[in-house]
Amino acid sequence: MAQLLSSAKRAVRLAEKLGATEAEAYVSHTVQNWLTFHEKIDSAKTSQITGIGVRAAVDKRIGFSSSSSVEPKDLENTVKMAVSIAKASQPDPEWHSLPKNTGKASAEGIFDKKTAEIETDTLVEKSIEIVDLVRKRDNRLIPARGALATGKLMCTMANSHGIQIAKKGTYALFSIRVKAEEAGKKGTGDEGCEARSWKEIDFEDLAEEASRRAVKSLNASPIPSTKTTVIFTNDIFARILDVMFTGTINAEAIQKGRSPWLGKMGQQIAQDTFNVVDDGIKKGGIMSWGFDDEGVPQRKTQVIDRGVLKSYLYDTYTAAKDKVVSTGNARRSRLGTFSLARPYTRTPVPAPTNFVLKQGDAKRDELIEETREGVLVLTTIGEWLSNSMSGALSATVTNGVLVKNGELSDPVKGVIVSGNFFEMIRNTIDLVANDMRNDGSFYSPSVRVQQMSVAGR
Amino acid sequence: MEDVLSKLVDEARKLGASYSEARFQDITSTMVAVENGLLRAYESDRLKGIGIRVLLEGAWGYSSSNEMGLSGLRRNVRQAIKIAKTSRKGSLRIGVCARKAVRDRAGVQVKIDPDQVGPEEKIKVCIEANKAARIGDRIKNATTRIGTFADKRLFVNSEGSIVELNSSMAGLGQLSVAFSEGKMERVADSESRCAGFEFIQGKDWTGFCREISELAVRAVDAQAPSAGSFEVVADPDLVGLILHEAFGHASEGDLITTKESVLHGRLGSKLAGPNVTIYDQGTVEGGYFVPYDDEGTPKAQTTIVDEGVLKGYLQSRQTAAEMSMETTGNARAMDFENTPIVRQTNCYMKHQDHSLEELAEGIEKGYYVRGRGAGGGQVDVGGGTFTFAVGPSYVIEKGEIREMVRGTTVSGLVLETLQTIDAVGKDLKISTSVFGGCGKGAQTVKVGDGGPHIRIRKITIGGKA
Repeated sequence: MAQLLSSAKRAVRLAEKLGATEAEAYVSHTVQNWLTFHEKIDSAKTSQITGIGVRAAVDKRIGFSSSSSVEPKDLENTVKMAVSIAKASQPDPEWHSLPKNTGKASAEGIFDKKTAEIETDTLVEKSIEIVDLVRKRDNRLIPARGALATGKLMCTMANSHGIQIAKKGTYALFSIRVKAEEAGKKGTGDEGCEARSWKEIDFEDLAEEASRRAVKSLNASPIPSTKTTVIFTNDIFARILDVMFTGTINAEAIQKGRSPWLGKMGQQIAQDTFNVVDDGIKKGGIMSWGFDDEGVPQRKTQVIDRGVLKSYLYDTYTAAKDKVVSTGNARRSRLGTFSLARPYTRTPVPAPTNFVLKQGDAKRDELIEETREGVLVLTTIGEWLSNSMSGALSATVTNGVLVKNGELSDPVKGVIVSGNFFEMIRNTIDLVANDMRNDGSFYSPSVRVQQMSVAGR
Repeated sequence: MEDVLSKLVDEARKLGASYSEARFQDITSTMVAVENGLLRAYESDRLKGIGIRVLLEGAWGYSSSNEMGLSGLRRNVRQAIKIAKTSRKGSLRIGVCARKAVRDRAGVQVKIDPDQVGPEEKIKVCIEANKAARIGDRIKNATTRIGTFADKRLFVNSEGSIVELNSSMAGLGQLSVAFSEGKMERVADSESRCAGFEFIQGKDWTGFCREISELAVRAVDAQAPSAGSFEVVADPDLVGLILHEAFGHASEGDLITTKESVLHGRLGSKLAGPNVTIYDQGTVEGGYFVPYDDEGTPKAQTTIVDEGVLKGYLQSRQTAAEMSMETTGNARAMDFENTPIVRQTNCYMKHQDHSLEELAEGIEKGYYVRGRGAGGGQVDVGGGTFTFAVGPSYVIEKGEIREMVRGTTVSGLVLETLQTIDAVGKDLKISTSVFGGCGKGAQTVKVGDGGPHIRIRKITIGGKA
């Protein structure tokens, strides 16, 4: 860590010497272990990478350059490139400054020593256990695809205003797809989990659930097109929150006119049971850190309070423009955590940390029991193709179950569920469960929605 | 560098590997983004490192690092060996199919090296194109991006193969957000080539960006299509997506050996009409450049479907060995940090003889679905369901192409959709993108896809009920 920080400090000094009026260097080191398997292990690997990203300002002109080498000569080239880009850029009249040193928040449960020490042997043992568990459960089942991974990220940052900080975190991931086969009929079931430590993952429970889903989906088929009630399970709805809010709730999107939430501050945009916080210091949160990707302490921000839009998410640049303080939402990667392997390659932009929709009172089973007719959605593809600007939500169901008179009935696949997300949060979500779960850094309970369009046969 | 890689491969052999390979990679890339007239980001990156893969008693081990010193690299070899030994216990007893050693060097023709073009010029082109996209008050946001990269890969294996590949790409993308009476719509498109910066200099981007904004302005006032099953004509951009998602992935050998794919066990069976022929080809006009895969195997033209009959799968040396077949040169890795897995290169459909008018003529009530402004797609190879977004499209009524409808989501079942392709057009367009890629197993690689216009008798359209 000390070595990383000294590279960062060296880069800042060099940039200043080359004419930068302000400079910032972000140096990260990532180590990952991966294992993929089906009935047997496919392959295992370990990878490690160090890298540096340098942001240089020459008056109000900004440049950025990054490299996977911090060797003295390469570091010098990276800094030179950042400064020369800055000099070639147009001045940005809105540029205020890089963040000043404002300390560090306390984020718990983000580094687990045991997880950091895990090597391939642990992943091998676990994969064998999981395969055994699935095969012994039911002879119609085959583990078709699985992944186990652990990672640790160390990062340090220095800038011209005295920021000199370091952070470290760990991750663990498990995903499994189980295939069921019986007399020519096929079904699949998926489950997975991403957490900050290995011990938080309940491997057996997830493998069991994927197995149950696979058997249940034998012989799934599309249903006729209709308008009906749809129950989105927690992890699916978490992903929908990601699709609808990540690109639109940040201050940059607002300031640049590419957000439906433009001009909606203080207005009722959802029903009063709809509460959302962006919690940068959530205990064990996937995106919890003491400080964000430009060195500002992370914190908890109420985004939607009883349906009223309360705050956008800010980094230092967008905050200065709106004359407010940064909410600690500067992020270098717009993708999931395991894509964080090279966060140093990007300039920070405002983005959610842990984005949490408050849960309701209903039990998950009550969502089903109180539904006369509908579709329970367990797995989807293409939900990320939805349009966050128009609110047009659509998701293709790859694993779902028909609900009839409060009970689960036939399996469904290959139908497109669609509706308008803005209308859903304003009116048509009528039940929210108490079964909070995450998909990456998005946290949601299961929800029931009235009157969605289902396109099928 | 060749010497270093050869040493590592030898070292692995001495430590007990029956097969070993080392991959060096050096990528430089830049991305310029201009939003509403102002430079938003200029990022320049260099990524360099080495990955070592060893096969030991039927188990793989892989280790990668950006450390370039010989002692660090040797540590990587030992790490890979250790991982292979640890994995033996639960492993497949993998083999690789036989290959002749290859020594070759191939590269994209580059006239102007993007890294030799200063930031000033890239910013200037981007700002001018962005200006053209801001066609009036109804465009709330216009973002223009220029992306370039040069990807140098050197492959050495224990069988004596040495392959050097130099790939380069350049492209420009436009995103326009239109606003009308409380409604918003976004339309995005890009054009890329395997070339140097001459591709950016040689095209009038102002017209390209203006058109996308005009399309967004028209689309924001258009109605959503009706939900349900319809007959459609799909344009080449969408045909590429359909093939890639609905078919290409399901034919990938690693999804066959694990029995996950719906195409498992269907070799030789009739999956479509005689007018449907599908290829995966390493180098093709408009597509991405893959003359060799990341196992050093030449990637030629692979026929997946020949006149409706499933002829082959896409293979790596491992999947080929498992199926007692030949590798097709489809083992590809995102970068040196990742192991090669079975991937498509350029998947496209062969053209036939119909004009667009003839394709539409046969449709009583349906849609002409277009790829421009579409956002990509996804497939569940196990269940056989695929989906993708379409851009602003058109209603077809009594054989005539009529009013525009908003972009939406389309879905189908792999085995069913191919059967219902009943007419294939006479045009052919293949494209790739510097901005996007295809994701699988946490790796994103560049692919190309395309085809002619086609008519599909049944596809599910998401829209208003």
